[in-house]
Amino acid sequence: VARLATGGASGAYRLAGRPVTTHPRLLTLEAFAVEGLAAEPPVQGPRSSAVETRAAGREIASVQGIVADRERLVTSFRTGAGYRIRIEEIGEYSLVEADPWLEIVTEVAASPLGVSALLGPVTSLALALDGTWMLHASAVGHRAWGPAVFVGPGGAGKSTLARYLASAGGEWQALSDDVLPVELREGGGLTVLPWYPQPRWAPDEQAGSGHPERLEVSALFVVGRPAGAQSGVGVERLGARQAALAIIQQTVAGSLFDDELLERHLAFAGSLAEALPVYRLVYPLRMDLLPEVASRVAEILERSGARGRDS
Amino acid sequence: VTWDPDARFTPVDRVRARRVADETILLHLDQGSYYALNEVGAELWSGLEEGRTLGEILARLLDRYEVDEETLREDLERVVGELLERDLVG
Repeated sequence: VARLATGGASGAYRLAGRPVTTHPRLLTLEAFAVEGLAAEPPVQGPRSSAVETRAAGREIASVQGIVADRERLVTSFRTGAGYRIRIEEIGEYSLVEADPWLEIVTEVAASPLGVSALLGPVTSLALALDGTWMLHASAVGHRAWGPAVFVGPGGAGKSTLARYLASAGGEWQALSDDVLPVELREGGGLTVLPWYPQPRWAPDEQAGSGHPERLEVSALFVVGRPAGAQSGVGVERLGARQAALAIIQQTVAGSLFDDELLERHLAFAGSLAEALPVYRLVYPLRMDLLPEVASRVAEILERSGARGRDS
Repeated sequence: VTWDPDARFTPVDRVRARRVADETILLHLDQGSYYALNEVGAELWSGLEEGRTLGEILARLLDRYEVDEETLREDLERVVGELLERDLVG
């Protein structure tokens, strides 16, 4: 359970398979609101424990990264009870591990910037403590073949592709636009958790909560632009090490992890690369190529899904 | 590095390795950097972890792969050089 406190009235939500409370109620998260969470056992002194850790902590990393609208300096500290994250010109957040609770306490206002930071590096780090990893990913769900998950850096074209597929209607539906929590299933497969608010979607556009809480994935796509003069669509299956490295590179907040989380993250990326086919999908950003890209993706998912069901 | 069959190199304490299929990813905790080793590199790393000499590792690889000794030795020299340069072994 994550407790996101910014003062004022609280909201109760279910995000990435976990109950989460925020102070105050956050408009962006409304689609994920649930009733009855207030009846959960109260956390023992969440504020005091988090605030106590605020002044302390060993610096883990200080990195430049895109948060909300621009590149900002983000610094993570390991405290006795969890983490503290400082984001340039936004503010500080304290994460406290109080098993089974994860509490996030901040005095940052619930402005669009504050919510963006909270849904990006802050909650990503909180979920990572619990074994759920946040990928930079856009995803669409197919009724028969499961989710098509496109990971890649900003500007790679993953959102455009997901939007194109979802706009075709019919069998495809939007799941995520920017960030997507994932976890390994027992036995080795990968599950995506689409119940997670997308910072770039308006409150009434949040699509994830309309799907099952967990969806099994049969293949992953790393989207990129061609380096040279390639004019068509290129699809190749990545070897295990390239697949693992791509997953590592596309994990949100990875550069804020301490040694223990880095090791767990490395193990996760390795297991994922062994469990799932990962494809590199490269094409010039041209709208007239999207139908071909879509049909190549559909072909692979249909094939991988069938293999998954057979095994 | 100059080839010495009796040389032993030890993985640096702050490096973690994860075998992925037949390959290996290395993570240097102090640098925050990741390195990928192909199949031969992965075998080399396992040998170094087990405390084997370069000569022993070479012999084991020659048993396993159809490759001439000189090519493989040059490969190992190059990879060991890179591991040293990046402070992954000492």
